[in-house]
Amino acid sequence: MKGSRFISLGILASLAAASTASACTVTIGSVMALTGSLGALGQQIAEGAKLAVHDINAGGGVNGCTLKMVLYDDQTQPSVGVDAAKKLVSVYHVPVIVGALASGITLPILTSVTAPAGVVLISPASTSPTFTKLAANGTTRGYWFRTVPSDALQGVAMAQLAKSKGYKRVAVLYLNNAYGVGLSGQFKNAFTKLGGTVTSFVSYDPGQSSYTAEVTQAMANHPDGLFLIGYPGDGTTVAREWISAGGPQHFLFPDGLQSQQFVNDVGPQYLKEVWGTAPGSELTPSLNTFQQEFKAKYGSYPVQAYMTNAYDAVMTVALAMDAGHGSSGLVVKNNLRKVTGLTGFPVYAGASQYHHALSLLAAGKKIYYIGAAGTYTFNRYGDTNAPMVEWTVRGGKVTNVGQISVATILGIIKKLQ
Amino acid sequence: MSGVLSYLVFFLTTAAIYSIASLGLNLQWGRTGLFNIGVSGFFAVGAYAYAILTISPLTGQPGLGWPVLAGLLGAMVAAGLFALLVGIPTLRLRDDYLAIATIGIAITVQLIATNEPELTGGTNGLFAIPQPVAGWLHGSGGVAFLILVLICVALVYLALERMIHSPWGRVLVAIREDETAASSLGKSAFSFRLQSLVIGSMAMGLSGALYAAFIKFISPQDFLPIFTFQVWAMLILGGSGSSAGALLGSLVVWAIWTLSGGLIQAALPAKLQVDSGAIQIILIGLLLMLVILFRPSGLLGRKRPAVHRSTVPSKEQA
Amino acid sequence: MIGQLLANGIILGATIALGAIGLTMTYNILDFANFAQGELLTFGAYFALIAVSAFAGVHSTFGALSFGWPMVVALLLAAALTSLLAILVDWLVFRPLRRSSIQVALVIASFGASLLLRHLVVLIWGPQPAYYTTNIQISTQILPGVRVTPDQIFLVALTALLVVGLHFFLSRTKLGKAMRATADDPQLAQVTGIDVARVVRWTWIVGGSLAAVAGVLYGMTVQILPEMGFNLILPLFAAAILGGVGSVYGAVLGGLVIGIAENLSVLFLTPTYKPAIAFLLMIAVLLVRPTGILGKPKL
Repeated sequence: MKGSRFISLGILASLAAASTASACTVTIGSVMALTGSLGALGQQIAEGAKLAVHDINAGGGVNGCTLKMVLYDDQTQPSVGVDAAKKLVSVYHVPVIVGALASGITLPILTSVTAPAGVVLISPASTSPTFTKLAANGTTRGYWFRTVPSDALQGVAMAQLAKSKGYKRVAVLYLNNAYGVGLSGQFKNAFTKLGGTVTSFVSYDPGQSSYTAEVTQAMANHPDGLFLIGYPGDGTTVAREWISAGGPQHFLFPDGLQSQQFVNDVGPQYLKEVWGTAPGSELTPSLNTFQQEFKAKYGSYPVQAYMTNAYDAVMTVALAMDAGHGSSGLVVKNNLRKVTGLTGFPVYAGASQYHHALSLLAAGKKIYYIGAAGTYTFNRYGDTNAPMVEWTVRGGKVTNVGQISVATILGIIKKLQ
Repeated sequence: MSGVLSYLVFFLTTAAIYSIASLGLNLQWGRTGLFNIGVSGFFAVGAYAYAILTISPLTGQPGLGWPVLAGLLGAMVAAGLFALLVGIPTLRLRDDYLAIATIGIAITVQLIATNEPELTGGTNGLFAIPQPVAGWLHGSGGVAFLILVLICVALVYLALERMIHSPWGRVLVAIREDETAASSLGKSAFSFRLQSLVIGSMAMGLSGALYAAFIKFISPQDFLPIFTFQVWAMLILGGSGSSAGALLGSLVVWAIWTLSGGLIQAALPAKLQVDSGAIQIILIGLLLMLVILFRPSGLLGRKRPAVHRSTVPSKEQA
Repeated sequence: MIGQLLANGIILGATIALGAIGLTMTYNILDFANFAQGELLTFGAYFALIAVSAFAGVHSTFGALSFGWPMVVALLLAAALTSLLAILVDWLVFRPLRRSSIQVALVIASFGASLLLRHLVVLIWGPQPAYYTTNIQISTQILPGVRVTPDQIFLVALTALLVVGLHFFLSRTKLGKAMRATADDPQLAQVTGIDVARVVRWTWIVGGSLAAVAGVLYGMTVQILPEMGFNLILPLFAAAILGGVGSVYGAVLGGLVIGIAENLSVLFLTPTYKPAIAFLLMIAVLLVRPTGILGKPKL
C-alpha cells in the first residue's frame, strides 16, 4: 500500500515538474460551513475541494498558473457567509466561489454578492428548488451552477425504489427545511402516481422537546414502512422513537441519512430492512481515484455525501478556465458546459487525467469530465442531472448495492407527466 | 472602486443595519431596563413585512408590490404591533416575564416564517426583494444604498436622542431606577414602558427591513437566536444607555465577529475547528458577562447612579 | 390516536413538571427567573452518561425496564454533581448580584450562564446526540390504541413519587418550612433567625437534583443533546407560570397541561408549531390570571 502511494506521488511530482514552472496564480474562493451545525459535514466537503486543487496543480495548473483556493468559514450563518463571499469578491477578486453548503446561505450569497458581480457560484450541496426559480427569472444571470442534482430526481428515484421493493403504503416524516420539504413533496407526487399510497405526511423541526407527537401521527393508517428525511442527529432520535413506538421496522432513507454513524446510533439490529438512495457517486474510475487519494491524504475515507461533488466542482471550474483560455467569471460561465456533458473525449478525476485533459484541450479536442460523482450535464438554469445509487444496511454496514441511471429516472418522470 | 474599498462599503452597510437594531435595544434596555431577548423576532417581523409588502406579485411569490418607502414604514408598524402583543400581557407584571415572552415571540415568529409558505415563502425563503435607490450612482457598488442606510441610522439616532433627553426620556430612566417612586409621581409606569418597548421594536423592524432590502433574499435561517446575541453584544460592549455607544459597539462587534472566525480557524488545530463556533460564543459570552457584572456602562456608557433599594431583592410587582 | 397523544402528553408533561418544580422553587425563594435551569437538566443527563459508560460492562436490568443498578448509581451521581454545579454557579455568578439594585441583573446573568454552559457541553461532549443504550424499548399496548414502554411508566411513577416526597419535605421538615418562610418574606425570615444562606444552598440542591432526574429521564426516553435543556426552557417557564410561581403542585399541573396541549395540538396544527403552544398558553394565562392557576396573589 505504502509503496504504491509513493509511486503515485512520484508520478505526480514528475507531472508537476513536466508542466511549466508557474509564476502566476489563479485564485478562486470557497465559502463553506466549517463550524456551526453543518460544521462536521463541511470540514470533509472542504477537504474534497482542497484535494481537487492539489490534483490540478500537480497536473499542470490552470492555464499554466498555480490554482489557489481561499476558503472561508460561514459558521452556518447567512450573514457571515455573505460577508465572506463579499470579501472574496472585492478583496481577492475571485472569479469563482465554490459553495456554500446550506441552501439558506447559498441563496443570499447568490442574490446579493456573486450574481450582481458576475462571479460564478458553484455549490456542491445546495439542493433547494428555489435556485431553479431564480435562474428562470434571470436573477442568477447565468452565473449559478451546482454539482448536486435538485431534489426532484431523488424523490422520483426513491418512489421507484420503494415500489420495486414491494412498498404500497408509506409514511413520510420529513425535516422542515428546504431539503426536506422539496424531497418529500417530489416523493409523494411520484409515489402516488406510481400507484402507491402515502399514509401520512408529517414534518418535524429540529430541536424539539420530543418527537412522539410526530411519530404517533405518522404511524396512523397502518403504513408498511417509513420514509424518513433528515440528517443524523435529530433524524436518529426520530428513527428511534418510531421503533420504540412500535412502528414497522421497514425504512426508506435518503442521502442525508446515508451515514454509518446514523446506523450505529439507531442500532443496526433494528435496521435490517433498509433501502436508501443518494445522488451521484456513479461507479466510475474517478470515484476510485478520489477514494484512494482521499485515503492517502487524510488517512480514512468517511461515507458521507457531497465530498465528491465538491471535488468535481473545482475540477470542472479549472477545466472551463483551460478550455476558455482565461480565468474570469465570464469564461467559466461560458465554458463549464463545454467541458461537461456526454460528448467528446472522456477525462476522469486525478492529477494525471487532468494533465491528459490539458493536452486534449491543447490539441483542440472537445472533452467531457466524468467526475468522482458521475457525469454532469448542466441545463440552462445551472442544474445538473445525476444518477442515483441504491444503498442498504448489510451486516450493520452502509453498503451501495445498485444504481438508477439518469435515463431511467428521466424516463419515469416523462411517464408520470 | 478598489476592492478593499468596495468591501468596506459592504461591511459598513451591514454594521450600520445592525446598529439600528442596537439603537432600538438601547432605548429598551439601556434607558428603560426592559430585558428583551427576542431581538431576532422583531428584526424578522420587519424583514418579512418589508419583503411581503414590496415584492412584486409578478414573481409568483406572496407580495403586494408596494413602493419601498411604504415597505419600510410597514415594517416598522408590523414590528411595533408585535411589541404590543408581547408588552400588554407582560409589562404590568414582573420584569422577567417580558424576558420569557420575548424569547417566546422570537420562536413563534420563526415558526410562522417556516410553516406558512403562502405568506412567507416557508423554508425556501423569499427572493427578488426590491432595494431602494438600487439604480442610483450606477457602478458605485452599493454606495447609494449605504448612504440611504446611514441616513436611516442618523434619523433613528436623532429621533431617539431627542426622546431620551425629553421629559419623557427622563421618566423612563426614573422608572428604570425606581419604579415605585416614578409611579407615585402619577406617571403610569406601564404605559411608558410599553411605549419604550414599541418604539425600540420599531427600530428593530426598520433594521430588519433594510437587511432584507440589502441582501434581497430572506429565509427563516437568517433569524436565529444568535442574532439577538450579536445585537446584545454590540450594545453592552458599546455602552448600554448611550446611543453613540450602540453605534460604536455595532462596528466593533461586527468587525470582531467577521474577523474572529478566520482567526480562530487559523489558530486552532483542525480537530477543534468544528467547535470553534462554540469557543467563539463562550469567549464573547464570557466577556459580555464580565462587562455586565463589572462595568455595566460599557465602553462609552454613562455611569449609572448607584441606587440601593434594599439589601434583599424586593418583591414589588409580583 | 387521541388516547396515544394523551399518553404521550402525560409522559412529556411529567418530565416538564420535574424541571419546572426546580424552576418554580428558585423563582420563588431566590426571586428571579433562572434561565440556566434548562442547562441543569442537560448537565444532569450528561453526568449520568459518564456513569453509565463507566459501567458499560455490567449487565443488569430491572424486570422489563431498560436499565439496572448502574442507572440508579448514575441518577444519584447526576443529582449530586448537578446540585454541586448549581451551587457553584450561584456562588460565582448569582451571589454577587443578589444585592444589585437592578432586579433584572440576575435574569441576565442566568441567561449568560445558560449560554456559556450550553456551549461548554458542546465543547466537552460534542454536538451530536447521545443515548444511554443502543437498545430501544419497543412499546406495548396497555389500553386499546395506547402503547407505552416500561421506561415511560417508570418515568411517570418516579415523578409522582418525587412530588409527594417534596410535598412532605416542604410541609413537615424544619428545613422545608424555613424555605417556605424565606419565599414568603425574606426579610422577616432573616429576622426570625432562619439561616438564609443555608436555605439558598438547599434550594439549589433540591432544584438541581430534580433537574438532574428530569434530564436523565428525558435522556432515557428521548435523547441526550447539548440543546435539550434549552429546548425545554420555554415549556418549563410556561409550566411554572401557568401553575403559579412558587406552587409545587402548580408546576406539576402546568407541566401536564403543557405536555398534553403540545401533543393534542397536532390534531389541529402541523406538529412543527408545537414549540409555540407553550408560549401561547403562557400569554393567555398572563392575560387572564397573572398569578397562574394555583398561585396566590401576593401583596
